Amino acid sequence: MSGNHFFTKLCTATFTIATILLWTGRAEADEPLFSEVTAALGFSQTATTWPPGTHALPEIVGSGVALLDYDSDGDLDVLHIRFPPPGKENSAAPNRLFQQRSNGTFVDVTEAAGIGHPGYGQGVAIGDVNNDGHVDVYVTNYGPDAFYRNNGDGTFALEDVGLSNNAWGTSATFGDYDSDGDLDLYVANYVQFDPETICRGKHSAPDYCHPSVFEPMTDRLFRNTGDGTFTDVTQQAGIAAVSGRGLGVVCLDFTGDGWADFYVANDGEANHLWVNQTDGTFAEEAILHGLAFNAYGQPEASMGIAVGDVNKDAQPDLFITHLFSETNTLYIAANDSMFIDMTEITGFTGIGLPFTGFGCGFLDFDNDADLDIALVNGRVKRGAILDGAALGKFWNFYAEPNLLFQNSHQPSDKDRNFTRNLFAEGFQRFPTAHFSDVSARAPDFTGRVEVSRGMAFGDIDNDGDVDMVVSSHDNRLRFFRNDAPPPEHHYLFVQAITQNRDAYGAEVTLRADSRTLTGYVLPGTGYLSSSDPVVHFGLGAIDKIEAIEVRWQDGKRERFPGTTSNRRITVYQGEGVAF
Amino acid sequence: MKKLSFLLLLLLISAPVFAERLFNIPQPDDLDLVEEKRLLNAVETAQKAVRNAPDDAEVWGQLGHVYLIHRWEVPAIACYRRANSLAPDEFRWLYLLGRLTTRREPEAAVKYLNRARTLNNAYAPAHLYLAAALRTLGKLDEARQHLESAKRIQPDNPFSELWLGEIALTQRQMKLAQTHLGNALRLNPKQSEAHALMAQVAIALGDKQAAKQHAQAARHTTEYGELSDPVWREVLQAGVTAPLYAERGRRYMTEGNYASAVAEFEVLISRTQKDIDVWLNYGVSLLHIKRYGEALAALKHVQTLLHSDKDVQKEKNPHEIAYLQAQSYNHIAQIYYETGQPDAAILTSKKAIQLFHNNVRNSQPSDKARDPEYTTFLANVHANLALTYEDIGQLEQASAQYQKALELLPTKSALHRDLAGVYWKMRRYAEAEPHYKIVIADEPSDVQAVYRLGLIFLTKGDYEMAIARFEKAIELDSAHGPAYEAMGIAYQEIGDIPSAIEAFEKRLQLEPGNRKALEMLKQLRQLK
Repeated sequence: MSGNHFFTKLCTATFTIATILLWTGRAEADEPLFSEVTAALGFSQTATTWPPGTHALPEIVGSGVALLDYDSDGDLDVLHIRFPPPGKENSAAPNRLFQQRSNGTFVDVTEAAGIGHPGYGQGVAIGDVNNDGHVDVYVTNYGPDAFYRNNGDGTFALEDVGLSNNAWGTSATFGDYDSDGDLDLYVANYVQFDPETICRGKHSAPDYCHPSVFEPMTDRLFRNTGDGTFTDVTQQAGIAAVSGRGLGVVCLDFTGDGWADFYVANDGEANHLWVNQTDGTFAEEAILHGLAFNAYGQPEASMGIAVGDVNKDAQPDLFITHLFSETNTLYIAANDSMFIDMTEITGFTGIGLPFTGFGCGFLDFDNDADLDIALVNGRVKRGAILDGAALGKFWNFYAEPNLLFQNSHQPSDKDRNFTRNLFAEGFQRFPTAHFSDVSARAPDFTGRVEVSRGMAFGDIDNDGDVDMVVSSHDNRLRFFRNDAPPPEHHYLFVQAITQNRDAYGAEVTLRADSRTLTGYVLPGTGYLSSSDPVVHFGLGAIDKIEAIEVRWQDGKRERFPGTTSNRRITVYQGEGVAF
Repeated sequence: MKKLSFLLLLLLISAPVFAERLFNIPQPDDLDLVEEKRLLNAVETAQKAVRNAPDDAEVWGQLGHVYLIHRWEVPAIACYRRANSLAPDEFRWLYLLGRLTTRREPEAAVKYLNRARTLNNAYAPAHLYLAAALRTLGKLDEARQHLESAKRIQPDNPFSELWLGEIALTQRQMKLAQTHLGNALRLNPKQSEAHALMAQVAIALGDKQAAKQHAQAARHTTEYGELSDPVWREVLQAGVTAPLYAERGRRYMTEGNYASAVAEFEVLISRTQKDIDVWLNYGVSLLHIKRYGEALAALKHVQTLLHSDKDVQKEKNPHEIAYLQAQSYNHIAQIYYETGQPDAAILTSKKAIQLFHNNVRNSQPSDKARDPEYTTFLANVHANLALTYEDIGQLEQASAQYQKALELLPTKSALHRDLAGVYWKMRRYAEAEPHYKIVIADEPSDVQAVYRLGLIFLTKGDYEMAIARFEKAIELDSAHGPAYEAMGIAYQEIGDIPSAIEAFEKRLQLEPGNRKALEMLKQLRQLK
């Protein structure tokens, strides 16, 4: 009798759940979260057939993309870092600068701007190195890197300012590590690649080499001397003490002492956290801060880095993309500047394992006041061809779909049980986040099976939400317009300015409705790419901000008056109330 | 009409067979990119076997092995699934399916592995993979139980303690984590994961110094201990490409099965082979099976490649080249020693030491130079040199070399035993004594050390201590005649004549007609 009763209840419950799923499924399917708008923005959709690869490592590393306002007209422009096709390494593949016009479309201004460097492009860092209000550009190459000074008139000048890096540079980031008011530069270097080395898998067919086949490189740190030139301080700063196979780098104060540190994602080995010793030197302490390995103490093949406060505790958390069979790993800042791998507790178990992640970023795509995650994938070793791959025989083996995760803060019952089991005696005191895989709701972004690499974020169409641009292995760009936020979800953009430039490394906190939201002025995240430095806050139903607080990169704090939602504001260091 | 009925009947009878034959054989997407003929033949042979016997689970499993070991996991899983559907009670297919799905589909893995356990609950790797899947699913208590089971079945497996430590750390049970991780490191000091986790435990416990030490150790690449896994061994046997022959060869070497190792490496040996590790391992394996001439040729080829092959020189950095040269010199010296050429052995060992000091150790950063692998290598070279000196009676040089080895590895019992043996030969018993004490502390059952320590006490006139050692030696080896004889002398010295007689009588029982015993008994009985 009781058995029958249980069965009836089970059937009812199953029916109810199925009904809910059906309806939500329909509603979601009808409203894609992102739409591809590449052609509508004026970018060519004519796909030139990318030649089959030659298994030279640089061709699988890909290149980045930057969203920047190079002409200071208030909208985002695009710099695409490019490289020659496989087998044609000596042919020119100049980078391309696209200016956004007043109608929202883009025009190629590379030639006029004088920024079409023909090197083997990899990554890009954007920053105003001379505090003149115009962003300058540093491009890493497989080969000598290049620096372009922004002349302020829509043109750039290729200059030798002491930023010489002849190694294989990948990601680079500007940051004021010595708190002297100007931007310094950190360049992650990858490996000493030998083009003649041929690697074969266990099935004997040639494939791309594992990076461990090649010697790791020393990264480079350049100090801005303040007179428009830089000094290579790699040795004296201690950065040369440990080399690595760097692919991603971010500059932020991860230890809470008011000084900028550098976190480097290394491929297949321990990540590095260069902790600022406040005397111009750094000590590598990733293991001591829990950021070198995953929860199991294992090194992973780290590629891209996202930074943001996903659990609203006013501390920066990190998300790192990895190789297939490894998780994409979420490190939550705990206390005493320790980070804890909470990948499993936050809902990522198993989801990223089949894929190889590269570009990534935290973004509040639905403006609901918590940070979501987008990432792009593409293999570095041949694998089974996935349905939908249409890149030609060679590249189909490397093609994978992208992923989108939504932060709900509300775990499912199953995940709640998981959390209870996992952290019964452990991390319950740490606030956390919870992510759900919503890739199916963004088919334009996640439905294509390609080899994607770089990724940049910003409100390209100035409509109050964060859009995305993705670069691929074949010098192709794809733009994704954010259609997710419902009208009742508000937003605020905050541009923080110091010394006449964006205040890289500043922490911006909004206080409203008994809630605290924290964001970072941090364009140099992800993989080989650079995003809009303006901090975006999704506000959900909040329509009034009580106060804006900024902890500037030099550690000073200021409070600024509150404001209403759905607008862009700018705060300047020195104009707030110190506290 | 009859003909038609017959054809229909034939069709009906053979339908299942055709259906089986039509069953799709999973194919790797990139099979056409494979150039290695041995692999193409292996795939074709395994596929043909499946076509010939499509309802034979074994042939499906074998095809799965061929795919899996050559990194084609997706078609391998399909083959094992088919094998499992044909033979649901076969442990291997369930175990492999569980193992392959542990991370990507942990729920499926739990099902496969639990079913496998019902067929064989004493297979440690099944418990370990099940624990991993359960850990991924957040079922920590169940995971812990299976890790404990794996530990019971295979106490020296390198993973149980590590993962138990990880679970304890996750639950912030720091003391427990410290215990498990400490055990893991005792089982395998080169397990970097354990060091990485231990660093976090040390920070949580406020021991920054220990945290830094573990952090430093965690930077090294993990050298995993071998997990006894016969099913995986079967999979590995299906490998036919060069890296897999080499892997099998290395595994045989770690097991001391050098004849099989040689058989694996021989497949790879050719004029065009430039893989130094293959040549070196081949030479070492030949040395162990006493094919000295071929071993010497292989190791000299290593030297030639390192010295003059541009590809090899480009692939390796100068430190690696020097270290490999030093290694091959050390093995060549062993060959000279074994073939009765001590002078050549000494010269070659000295070359290895000089090369190592000049081009490996002194030219590396200090932390790298202290690498345990380097230390162990250098100690071995000194010990080999000592052995050669000892053999030709140059005992001063031998003791000096053993001392150098002991400076590098002060806790290695075998070196203490060897040095004590040299002192023994030199009749420098006082110097031998502390080394025998260390040997006995480490290996209380070392009869020779116990007996010799007894003799040292006897010569010092410490008869009670001597008797205690002889008794221990007899306890360990009841047929140890010399121990009875020495004990008899000790009893005689302390005036216990009946015990002395008893000891010599035992000696005589073990060796009737022993003249020394007969003579002593005669003297003792007169005293009595």
